[in-house]
Amino acid sequence: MQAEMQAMSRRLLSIVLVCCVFWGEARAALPQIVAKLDGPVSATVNQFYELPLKVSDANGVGLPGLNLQIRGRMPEHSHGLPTTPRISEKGEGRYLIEGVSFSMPGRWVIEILLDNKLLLRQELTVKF
Amino acid sequence: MARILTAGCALAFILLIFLLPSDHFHTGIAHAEWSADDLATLRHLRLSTDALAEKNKTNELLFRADAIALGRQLFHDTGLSGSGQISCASCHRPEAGYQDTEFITYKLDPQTAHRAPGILGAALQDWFFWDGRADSLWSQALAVIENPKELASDRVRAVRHLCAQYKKDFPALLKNCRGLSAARGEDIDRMFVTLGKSIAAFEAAELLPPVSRFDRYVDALDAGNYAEAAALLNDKEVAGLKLFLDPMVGCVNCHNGPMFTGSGFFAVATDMPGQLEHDRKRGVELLLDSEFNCLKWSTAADCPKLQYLLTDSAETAGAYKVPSLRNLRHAPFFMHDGRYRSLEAVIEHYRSPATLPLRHIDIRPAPLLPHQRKQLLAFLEVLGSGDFNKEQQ
Ligand code: HEC
Ligand code: HEC
Repeated sequence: MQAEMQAMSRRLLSIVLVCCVFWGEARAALPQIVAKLDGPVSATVNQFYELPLKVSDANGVGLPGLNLQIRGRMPEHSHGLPTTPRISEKGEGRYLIEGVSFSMPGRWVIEILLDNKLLLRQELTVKF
Repeated sequence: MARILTAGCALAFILLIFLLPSDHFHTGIAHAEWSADDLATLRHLRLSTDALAEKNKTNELLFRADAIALGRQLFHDTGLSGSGQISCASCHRPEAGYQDTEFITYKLDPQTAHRAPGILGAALQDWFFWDGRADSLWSQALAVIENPKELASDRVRAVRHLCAQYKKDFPALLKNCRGLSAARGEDIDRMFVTLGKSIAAFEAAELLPPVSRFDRYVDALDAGNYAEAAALLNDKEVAGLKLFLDPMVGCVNCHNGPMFTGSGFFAVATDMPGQLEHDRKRGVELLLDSEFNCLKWSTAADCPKLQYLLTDSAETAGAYKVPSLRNLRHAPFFMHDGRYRSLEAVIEHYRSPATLPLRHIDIRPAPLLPHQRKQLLAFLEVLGSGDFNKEQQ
């Protein structure tokens, strides 16, 4: 079932985006978090996508058990994602975001949040 | 004096040109000049039934000849209604592009929140009803049968009728009719689902929109046959198509795909205060409550729309399903509540949508001059071209 699900939704062009974010309050405990989102740079409307995510500390050690959220929106429009994606843990700081879909062509921004604070932002273009 | 007037006019004209959405004041038969991006969009909008199997994945009776034949009879069968007087075809009239041109919906329920849409190509959609409270075509049919404002029957009656009327002619489909007298609730439910899936199989096989002049135009462009393209769409219609694709106007953002609907839900300022219970927000609640939603009859992997349903959002309030723009030729009125009597009025709506304060809204006023509104209208009429009954014969 899992395999079926993945076959259905995967269309990854796999670009790797590395984003270093300094995280205000917890700076002492977590000096630097590195989040990598492997996902498409461009996507098609009304398809389901899954985005593998890796979160690690500055030494490359994966950070499991994080409270992550995902948000998507179109900067030129007033709406967000048409779905409620789910994030599941895959161990050693790897996460899988499933159920991402785009309802309109154009420029989209995907944001990953850690405890509701911005951790990573990625842009992508959605086409027909 | 005359000079000043002429100069003034010229200036005004130049200004006007700058105010127009880009790209459209010179249309003069530029069929060969579509950009690669535009061509890709045009192909994406061309009629295609490729998605039928994928969209109707939870209907294992799709494409089965006996189910299609049964569904065709059920669609016209007044025995499915509580009153014995109406069938699906009463409100979705075959001779009128499957539109409710006799206003049966309103005769049965003058207070109805939703008008009946035409249903050609419904099988190519993701969601059904204006609020998307059904996630499959087959469950949509079942909802109608038990809706007191529509066929006003119930599943036990419907299944009894199904068995009595059709079991001889469709033995393979209806073999469970044999044990009907001893049938329990879940057996009845299963046969009721077979009924819905048969109607859906018929709709997917036979209720598809005719090929319009637009589709043939795209074929001609694809073949590089610009003379034929020019014979298919005139200047005004091409100008309308360009406006339709123009980012400043934005129609194609929501009305896309082969049915001219991306199956999304958007708020386009058609809500009135106090009407919120008919929008997508309510549709989501009804969908989750439905006994026949995907998750209750299929494995989770086949139900991504439900698994990842947008539930907790301010954006579903006042939002309605984007309707198809094909097959509007016979539509007696427009929008979910039938508020407009003409396509001109719909276009005027987009030019100056009446917004409510503090409400989420997904459109901006479309900057359309009077002649551009006529062009856009001409294009919408192209999509309704092709007479269903004639082309089916
Ligand atoms: C009394 C009139 C009436 C009858 C009878 C009727 N319908 Fe409808 N139909 C409607 C209305 C009204 C809607 C829109 C309701 C809504 O959105 O809440 C609708 C919606 C639909 C849709 C969804 C279209 C879309 O784009 O969402 C389909 C498909 C459909 N009907 C098929 C059927 C079938 C099949 C039957 C017979 C089993 C049937 N209808 C019987 C009035 C009727
Ligand atoms: C933000 C998405 C969006 C955009 C942009 C948009 N529409 Fe719509 N359209 C909708 C929705 C949603 C409805 C249904 C609203 C309702 O029923 O209350 C609709 C309804 C319609 C209808 C009525 C169809 C029917 O069967 O009742 C027509 C015609 C139409 N739109 C044409 C256009 C044109 C032309 C444009 C460009 C000027 C446009 N739309 C832009 C979302 C959109």
